[in-house]
Amino acid sequence: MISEEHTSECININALTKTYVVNGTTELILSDIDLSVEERGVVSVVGPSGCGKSTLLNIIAGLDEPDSGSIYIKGINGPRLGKIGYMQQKDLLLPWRTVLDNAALGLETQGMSKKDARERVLSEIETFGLSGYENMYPYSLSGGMRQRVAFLRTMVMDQSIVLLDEPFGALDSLTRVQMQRWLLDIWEVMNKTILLVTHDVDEALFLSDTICLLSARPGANVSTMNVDLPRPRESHMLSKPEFFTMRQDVLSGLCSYID
Amino acid sequence: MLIYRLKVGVIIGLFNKYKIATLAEWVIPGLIILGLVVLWEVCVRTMSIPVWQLPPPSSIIVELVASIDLLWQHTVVTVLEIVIGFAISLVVGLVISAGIAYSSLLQRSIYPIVISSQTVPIIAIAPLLLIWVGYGLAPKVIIVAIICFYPIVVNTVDGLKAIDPDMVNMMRALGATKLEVFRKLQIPTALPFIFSGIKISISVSVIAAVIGEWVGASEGLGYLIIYSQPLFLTSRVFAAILILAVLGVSLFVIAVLLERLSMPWYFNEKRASTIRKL
Repeated sequence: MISEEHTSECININALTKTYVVNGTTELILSDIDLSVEERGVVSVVGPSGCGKSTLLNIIAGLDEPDSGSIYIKGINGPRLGKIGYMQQKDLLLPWRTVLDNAALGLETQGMSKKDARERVLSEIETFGLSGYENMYPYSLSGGMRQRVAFLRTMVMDQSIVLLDEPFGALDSLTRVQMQRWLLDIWEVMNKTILLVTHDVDEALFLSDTICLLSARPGANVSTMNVDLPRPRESHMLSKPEFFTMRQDVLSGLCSYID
Repeated sequence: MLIYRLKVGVIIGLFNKYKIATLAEWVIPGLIILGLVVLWEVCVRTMSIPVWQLPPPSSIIVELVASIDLLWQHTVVTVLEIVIGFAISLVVGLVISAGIAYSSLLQRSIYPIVISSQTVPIIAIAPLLLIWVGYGLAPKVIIVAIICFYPIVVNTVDGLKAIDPDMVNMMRALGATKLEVFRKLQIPTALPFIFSGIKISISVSVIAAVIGEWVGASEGLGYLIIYSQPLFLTSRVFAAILILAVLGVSLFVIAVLLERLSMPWYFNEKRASTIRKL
């Protein structure tokens, strides 16, 4: 039984269930999910496509409510919308805003003046590798750059919890590896707790402390495993034997529930 | 030879830089129009058609110069009717569109009225307006407003509804209020649609003003046409028509310029995606 008073636990989900009504039939999407993320931890949720991973993040972000179960954020079970950083799969940049103004959007909606928001973004723009691109519009940027802008928009808000929904899914494999390393660098500097959804097992192992496996629809907890790789993570760890052992464990865990 | 080449290079460079006239875009179409005018002139003269039946372009120009004061006086009235009518239509149209996009009750009740405003023949309402609001500027302004209303509302409603639900969720997750979603997402999304509506309605607004003047007026270009025709002042009729045509095109060009100025990102994005496709 997970204790709700545990102070180091940032996200704590208990027995979460969600159904959707599709064409008149009720479909179970998430069934009895338990999940907890410690402060400054990185947790990956891995599962086959259609297991309700995105639904889970939508619910945690406050865009949707569960049918039953509880969600505690830093020990509080209250409204969550706008209090948790959420980066969706698509970069969702506004085409009429420059890089600077796109990244400042979240600060503006939190009541910061446009001028202050821009200054705040400018102070971080170097870290996100976007200096020199401030006044460009999204259409002129590559996929990787657009993703960085979306990242900056999420990270620049002073929310300690960040949800990432397949953040690198749309990128080519080389850019993806670069962005993963870069995410870890950012994570070391900024004081964030990260919950990540992915179907890329290597990505999950490389980035996270804990991996939660979900089964195919309805999504349900299968197993949780700790990733015993030291931090900071280096790319050479990806070729160590213990990495391959863990990779095998995750894959077999996944496959046993797909069949 | 080298100097000549340099000069040509500079001129082409200027053309490319300002994206103004290139040969294919402006010069050739201009020559085609000029050719048609010349053809008209030649036909009228060789077939010796009387001026009161079909005046040649030259006598239309002569009439235009000779009666410029009279024409100008009536042009001002027509422009006023168009500008006021269009402005009213735009403001009311945008407010009502926002209402329709937000409330299904308004959509069910107001939208059918908006649509029927387009299907009821304006010629049938125009005489009634004379009875209700009199003979002056008001009935023409109302007719222009009614005609402009439909394209603006239909396009704006579509635009306000064209938002990407993922974008809305993104903004909600950032803690945006409904008003912020409206201001920072819905309005910019709808802007290209709104300008489509404006371009359509500004083009038909000229026709609307002329119809209003035909039904009953003592001034305006439409009045001048109706008044000059029985007197067989056909050159003057054509001069008035020419001014109306120039007026319509000018209003359209102004709308296009405003569109480009207010949405530079939209046109650059379109250009960028075309280049990528090439």
